[in-house]
Amino acid sequence: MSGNVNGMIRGPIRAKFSRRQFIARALSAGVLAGTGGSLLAACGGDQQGAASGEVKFIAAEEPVVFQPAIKRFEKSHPDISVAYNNYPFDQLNSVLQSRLQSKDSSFPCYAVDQPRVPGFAARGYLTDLSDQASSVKEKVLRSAFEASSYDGKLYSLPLWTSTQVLYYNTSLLEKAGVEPPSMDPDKRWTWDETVSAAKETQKAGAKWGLVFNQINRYYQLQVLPESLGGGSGLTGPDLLEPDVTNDAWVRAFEWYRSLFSDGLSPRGVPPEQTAALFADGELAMFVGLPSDPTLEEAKSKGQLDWGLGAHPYFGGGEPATPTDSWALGLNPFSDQQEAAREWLEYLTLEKEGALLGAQNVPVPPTQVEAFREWIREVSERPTEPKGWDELIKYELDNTAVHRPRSIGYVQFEEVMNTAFKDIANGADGGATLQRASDERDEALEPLRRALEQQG
Amino acid sequence: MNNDRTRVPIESEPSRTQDPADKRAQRRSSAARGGREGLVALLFLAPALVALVLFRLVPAGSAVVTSFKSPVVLAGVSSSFAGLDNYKALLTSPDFLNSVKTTVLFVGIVVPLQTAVALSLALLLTRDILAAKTWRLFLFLPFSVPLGISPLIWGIGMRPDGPVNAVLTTIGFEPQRFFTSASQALPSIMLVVSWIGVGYWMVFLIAGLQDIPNTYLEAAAIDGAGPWSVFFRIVLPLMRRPLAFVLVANTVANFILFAPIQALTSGGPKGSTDLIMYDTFEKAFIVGDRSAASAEVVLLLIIMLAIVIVQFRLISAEGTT
Repeated sequence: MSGNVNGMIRGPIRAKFSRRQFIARALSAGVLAGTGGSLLAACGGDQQGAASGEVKFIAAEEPVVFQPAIKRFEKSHPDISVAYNNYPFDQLNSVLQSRLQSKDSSFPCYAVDQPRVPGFAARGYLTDLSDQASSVKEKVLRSAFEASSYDGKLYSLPLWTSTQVLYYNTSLLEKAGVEPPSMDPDKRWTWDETVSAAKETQKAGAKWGLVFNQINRYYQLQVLPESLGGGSGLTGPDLLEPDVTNDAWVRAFEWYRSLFSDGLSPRGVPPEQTAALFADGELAMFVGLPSDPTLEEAKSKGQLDWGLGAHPYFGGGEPATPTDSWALGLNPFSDQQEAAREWLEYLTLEKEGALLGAQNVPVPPTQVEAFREWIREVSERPTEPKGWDELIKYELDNTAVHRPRSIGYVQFEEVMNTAFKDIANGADGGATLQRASDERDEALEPLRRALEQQG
Repeated sequence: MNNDRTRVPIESEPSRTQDPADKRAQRRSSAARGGREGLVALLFLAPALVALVLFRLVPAGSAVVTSFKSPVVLAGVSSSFAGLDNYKALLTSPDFLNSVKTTVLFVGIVVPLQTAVALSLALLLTRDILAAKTWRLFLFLPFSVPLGISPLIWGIGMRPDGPVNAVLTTIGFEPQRFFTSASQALPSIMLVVSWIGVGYWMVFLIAGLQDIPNTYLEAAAIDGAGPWSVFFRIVLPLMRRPLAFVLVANTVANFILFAPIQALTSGGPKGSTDLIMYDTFEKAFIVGDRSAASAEVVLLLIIMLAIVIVQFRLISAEGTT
């Protein structure tokens, strides 16, 4: 199973501004961007490119997410139609892997989890887009550009990015007499402070104290050892050597294990069900995406009052927050490259498309103008506390830690996610990490051999 | 029965007055008719045979071929003949050996258990009990829930903080860890798949029970046979065919069990539910090593065939059916 922010997108955001308003703003933004001349000549807002035909597009999100952008794109590109197919998050990577392995040419473009870009590129599953690199670089967030590249080449176009924050249940903290965590990044809590506050709330009646949204996925847990200086878990020149048994890793995951053995977090709850624990008022603190739709809905309906704090870190270590999201790539086996490219550029490089595409998700677009607009729009929602936008920007600029850009990431993530589940279920941290390290070494061996063969 | 015995020889006996030339002509025409009938039968069977070849034999053959090749893990690195390397790697991998052990243990428990429960229910529901048909329907219903959905429902129900534990604690039991405990996860999977399977296999056994002519049971009753001896001496021997089918089909179904593992445990905790089919899926579609996955499929096929052959032998050795 994969660990990615996108697995947590459960449905449309209940936007606090109307859809019509959003589209109107997005459109005016698109027109402005167009007149500014920053759009690619081949796919300008109302310009029609030479390409035509049907573009089959595969990703994990509900159809409602891309519908507004598809509609607008088809209007400005009457010769191209976009047929969207979605697979559940947990199945998408394996579906893509099997279809691309058999050189399936029926779909020209698809969403790829950013840390998988190197692996997919090295297997020949992504078209090289480097001819556009300099123009793309100008239009998207720098960190997202890098996350979409491999070996100095651009293999995908970044769609969204992400970060994480600490939610707290206002009344459960009040009941326990706990001062809420600060949104000021300089005053962020340490994990020890977070745990002692969580224990206080449980003494005062909270069922659960502290839960991670993606409770057992590398996406969210990588930052624990990173905060202690333990690294990503992969080392060596090609990032193909496991390094998950150093002191920082063992300390981080013994701490993680104690969340479950001390009863702060429940066992056996899959990532998709964790937000509901917080929304139901059973949980005091929750580490999750900063505009979680379930929690926004609960707050706007008056069912639950929550506040936000900056993502915690280990005392004595460095703050570290999860980041990245989906990128979009072209299937090299398809002969619909041109039309697909126009669609992908619209969705990722044009302000209008990027804004429409991020209208129904809790993660910001990476197109720079759309990013600024999205952050501003969301921060104006009545559910978001003051200073929300500053916190998000600060974390993305200063504390975001990317997942390792290794061709062995898939093998790595698979083994680690299993190890995290075992540790949460009570297995010893050090021994489990050692076993994971051995297993992963075995899984990475064919890749190391292949690289040697390639020279 | 007597009527049958007397009628059949008369009809099949050739007429004594028939001319040898006529006989030859008749044989030729019956051979021609047989050939035509065979052709028609083949025509009707063709779609199934084509499907069998395309969807069973060709993939199986391709798996065998791929299992002897080195994996293509990078573009530009071609696949070469690897001999038995993939098999050697598997047979020395503690993970794969654990998968084999877990799968054999799982099948060894779940198949006899499901078959025994299905047979008991079939016996019960073919008796004159109140609303027997409604009970049958209820027992069959879980099978109509899509296989991807029922594990999800059980997953939520059997969460350590879920409703099953709420019921257990209400009636005075300790809460259980179910899928989050290395010792309880496999039995919990058995429970989920039996909830689905028992009603399904029961239907075949009910059909078998209803095929047993009442005259045998009445004759046994007149001879003074008790219920146990009726069951062991009449019912069980006459149920050999449906039981053989259920046993073999159930064995195969559980050897290739996948959906509940993926939805509930992903092979954990600590590999305690890592059945071979899930391990194969991981290798093929997550890690992307089709050669290792193919070798695993071939080994699974060999283990499964060996067990099914033993099952057939045991069943046919005991009777003449």
